[in-house]
Amino acid sequence: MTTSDGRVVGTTKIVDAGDPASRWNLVVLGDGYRETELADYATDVKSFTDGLLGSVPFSSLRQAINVFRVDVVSTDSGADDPTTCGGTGAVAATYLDGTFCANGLDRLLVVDDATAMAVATAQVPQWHKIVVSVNSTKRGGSGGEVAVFSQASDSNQVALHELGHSAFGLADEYEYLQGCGLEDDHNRHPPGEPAQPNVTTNADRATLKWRELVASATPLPTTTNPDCTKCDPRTGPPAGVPASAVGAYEGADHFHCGAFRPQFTCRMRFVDQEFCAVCARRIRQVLNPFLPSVVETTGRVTFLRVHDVGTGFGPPSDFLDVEVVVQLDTEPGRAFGFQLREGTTEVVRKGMLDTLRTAFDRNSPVRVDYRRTGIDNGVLVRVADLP
Amino acid sequence: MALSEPKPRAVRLIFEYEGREVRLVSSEAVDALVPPTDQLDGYDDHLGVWVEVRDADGRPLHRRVLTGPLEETVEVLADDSGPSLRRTRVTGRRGGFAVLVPGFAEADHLSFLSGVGSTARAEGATELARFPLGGGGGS
Ligand SMILES: [Zn+2]
Repeated sequence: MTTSDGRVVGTTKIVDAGDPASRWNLVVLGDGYRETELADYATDVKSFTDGLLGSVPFSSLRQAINVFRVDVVSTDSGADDPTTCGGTGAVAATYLDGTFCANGLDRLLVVDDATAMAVATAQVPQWHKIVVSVNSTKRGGSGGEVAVFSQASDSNQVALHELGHSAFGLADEYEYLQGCGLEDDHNRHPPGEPAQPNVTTNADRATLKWRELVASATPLPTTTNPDCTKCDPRTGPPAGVPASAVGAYEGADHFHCGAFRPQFTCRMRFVDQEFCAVCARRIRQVLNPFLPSVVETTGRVTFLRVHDVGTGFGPPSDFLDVEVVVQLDTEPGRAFGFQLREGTTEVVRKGMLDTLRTAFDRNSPVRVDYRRTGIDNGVLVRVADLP
Repeated sequence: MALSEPKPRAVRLIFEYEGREVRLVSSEAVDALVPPTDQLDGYDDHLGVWVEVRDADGRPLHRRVLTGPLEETVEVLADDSGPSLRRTRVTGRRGGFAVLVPGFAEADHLSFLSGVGSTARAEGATELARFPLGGGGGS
């Protein structure tokens, strides 16, 4: 159950966004795969990677992210599954020593962090994050510097939640520690502001930390918990408030009251949901520097506005100084645009506007290239029809 | 923006911890881009644990809020089928983690800080540990 129980075969760059020196590098390692199971491992890693890059907001950050698959062979298949936690008693000789029942918790699946980091450093010196795929269908996983997931059906989703913590500094948005009804010391959040960007103890409209994403029609706080001795029993936002509305919903950061989350639900609350708008913005903020300076994207035009010089678009901290504003269905919460009358390229710019107008009218997809200008916006430099 | 232009290389520091005891295992120069710093001021009343690269005068040059290492809980799936997670308290938790920071020429040390919230604002955050970053951030 050590590195004598297998070997590192090699590394394949399975998603290539460019030079690792300027991209965000995700390294996937395998544990509990025998040599004859490396094809299964490749399939498992592809499934995880497709899930990651197909979800919001990573789908619009593909050009920032390299994914490296490190093939690691273990002597045995699977992971240790001690009987002390009700497991099968299986003992597997694996390179990264994967085991369930860490800290006496049945579904807590861990590997040897130090070995995982040493392998990643040797194979991909520029790694930013390591995830380990364990060859077991038992439900389990863990967070931390090295996120671990099994091959149970929702394990990939748990891994994305754990990436939310360790790679993007997000807090839990659920409103209990051990479970609703299981504790009486998580009624009210202690004084002080959580350091993470997606939970807060301050729901004041003028100073709320995600105030720029709150519509003036959305009440603040958006929900309050009527009984702080329990989790809020609501199953959805109040009548008249759309499910996607960013506000301040009481119950977050492991407390029933006194802490607020940005949207009714989020992957940091339930693993089967998408990241909320505030978490997505945070992930974009972290990964934006890893995008090339000109980014290519495609999508259908959901919003097209042409207005006077100087009107612009967006909040003061993320302002887009443009006359033509475009939003795409594939890039929710983001805006792109350009000045129509600037310089000697007015004819080209009018051509871009015509292409966008036609695509909007026909609901047909376009490809756009934009220069990054902020967290959630960019200046269009090229627009083309897509077949 | 940071207070100065980072040197081209970054520094990855790898730590081991047990409970809130932190030990530096290695420090290596890496030719990689570093994610942007978390806010460098206005966090006096914040709760949580973070690391700061500081200059010799104690000014923060780069800050990263930590989630996971040094916490007294671990996260697991809450039940057999649902999408909920929960946390369980554990004592003396052990593990390893890495911190990737820009290789600032002015970097003097890396501090681990624990913010205890507004009730203790006068005290500010508590320094849990400090590691020298001599020679321009170890690069
Ligand atoms: Zn969220």
